[in-house]
Amino acid sequence: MSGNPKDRPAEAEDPFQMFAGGVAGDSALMLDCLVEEYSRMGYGADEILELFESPEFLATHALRGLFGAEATRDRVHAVLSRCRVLRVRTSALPPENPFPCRGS
Amino acid sequence: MPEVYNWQLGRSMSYPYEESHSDRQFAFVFNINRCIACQTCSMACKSTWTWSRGQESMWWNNVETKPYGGYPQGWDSNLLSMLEEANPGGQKWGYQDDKEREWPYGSFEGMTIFEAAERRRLEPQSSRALGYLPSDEEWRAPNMHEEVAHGPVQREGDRPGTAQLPEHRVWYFYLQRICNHCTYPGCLSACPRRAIYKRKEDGVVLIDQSRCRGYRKCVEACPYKKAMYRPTTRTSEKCIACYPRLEGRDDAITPDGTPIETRCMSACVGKIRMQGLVKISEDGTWAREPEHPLYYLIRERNVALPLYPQFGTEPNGFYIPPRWVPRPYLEQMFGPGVKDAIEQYACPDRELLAVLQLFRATQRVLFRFEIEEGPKVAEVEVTMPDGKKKTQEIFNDTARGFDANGKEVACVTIEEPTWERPKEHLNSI
Repeated sequence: MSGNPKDRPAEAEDPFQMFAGGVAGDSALMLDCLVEEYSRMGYGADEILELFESPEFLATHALRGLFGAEATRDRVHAVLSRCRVLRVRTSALPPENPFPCRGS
Repeated sequence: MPEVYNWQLGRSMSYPYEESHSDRQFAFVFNINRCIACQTCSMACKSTWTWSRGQESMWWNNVETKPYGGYPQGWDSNLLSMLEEANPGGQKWGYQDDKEREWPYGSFEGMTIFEAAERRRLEPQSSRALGYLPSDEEWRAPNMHEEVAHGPVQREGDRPGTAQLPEHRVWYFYLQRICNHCTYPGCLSACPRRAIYKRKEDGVVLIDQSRCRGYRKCVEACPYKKAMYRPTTRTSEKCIACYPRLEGRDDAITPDGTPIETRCMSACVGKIRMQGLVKISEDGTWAREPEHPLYYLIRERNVALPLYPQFGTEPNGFYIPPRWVPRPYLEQMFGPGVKDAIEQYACPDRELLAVLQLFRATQRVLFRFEIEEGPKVAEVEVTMPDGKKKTQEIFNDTARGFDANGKEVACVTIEEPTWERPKEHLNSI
């Protein structure tokens, strides 16, 4: 197939054809990096595992589907055991109420 | 066409209008590494601005799965291939000098969308910027088939009898996109009615609805496809950077009149977004403000990079590239600064780590930060882009953020990291 993709005719027998090509990638590295990111934000093992369990979070949930629940849990614990959970403390500042009642 | 200077390309380029710059520029940084596609930003924008008739397929903020998807479908690969056709083999970056701040990504030797259009000027129906009009089908279904539609994990044989969706490997990243409020907007350059303008005070690009006649030249010319046509009003619409919030003029939201972040930024669950208003010099370059969090991330450290800078519009949206993606793909998307950006981000030093804590620490737009240094509290091991491990030092530092009035509105302290109890010892005392 040649020419610009926008000019290609639709193919009735192949309606789900992907637009982009595949790129070599490492699913395990993706999982490790995501766990590290959330550990930097102060998420512990339980909170991170919730991200993998909830279908609302597509990336993490799909990784759980790929590796399986048990292997995902092991991998999350393995990453956290070396990178640890970074704790941050937000100090009290003047209260920020974005929607105060008018006249209050 | 007049010549204008594009600092992201490291050179001057052709643009249909003379160079003119705003006093400040709306800009933002999105940290791709943290996004898990909850789409809260998309819904925050949609429920605020594009919930009416005729706006059903209009997503001013969208999050798409790369490398498989796009909204409209194939927007970037289509334009990249058109540029390649216009300049076969010539879309390359040249010399890069990291120490030269005026052209931090090197010099782009290829053709921008304006230069490619200029070459075709003699052809009939030529436009001022190379582009195309996506079809209705390409607009209709954001996120369609971008990844496998996983429901709750089920046992084999439990799959309901619905249509079989196409599947590919579980590996991707998410690209969050709003209008880049470009310095040299493609949409503005193409409008035959001059209905599109860039505000002097904050660089926000808007469409004057009273002048727009719906020719859709802006939709065709915007390389990021962020100008969208609304059939019920027969005009085009686009992201307005939530300017009522940005102006701080709604006393119900900001009684003290300070700028507040856009809806998509303030709703972000993963804390991936930070926006700001950076100061622009008379020559169009960013005025030096090393204490401004966006200037620090984008110009001082080069850790956040523009999306497809080679298109030539000087976009003001910047991205911290994801660590787990092969370099050639990222370099096509963010230019040659990718390697340096990821190396820094993967193992951030104490200053960078402190500034990163300010993401989503407040709804107020930050204009300045300060770091109060504390003692070293730990060393942790992190994964580098090549999969190797490196030791990162953690300091008990405090990052403070200040609003437009110079008032402290965010204060985040990094504390000693905690160990997670290993799984086999969960119940031990």
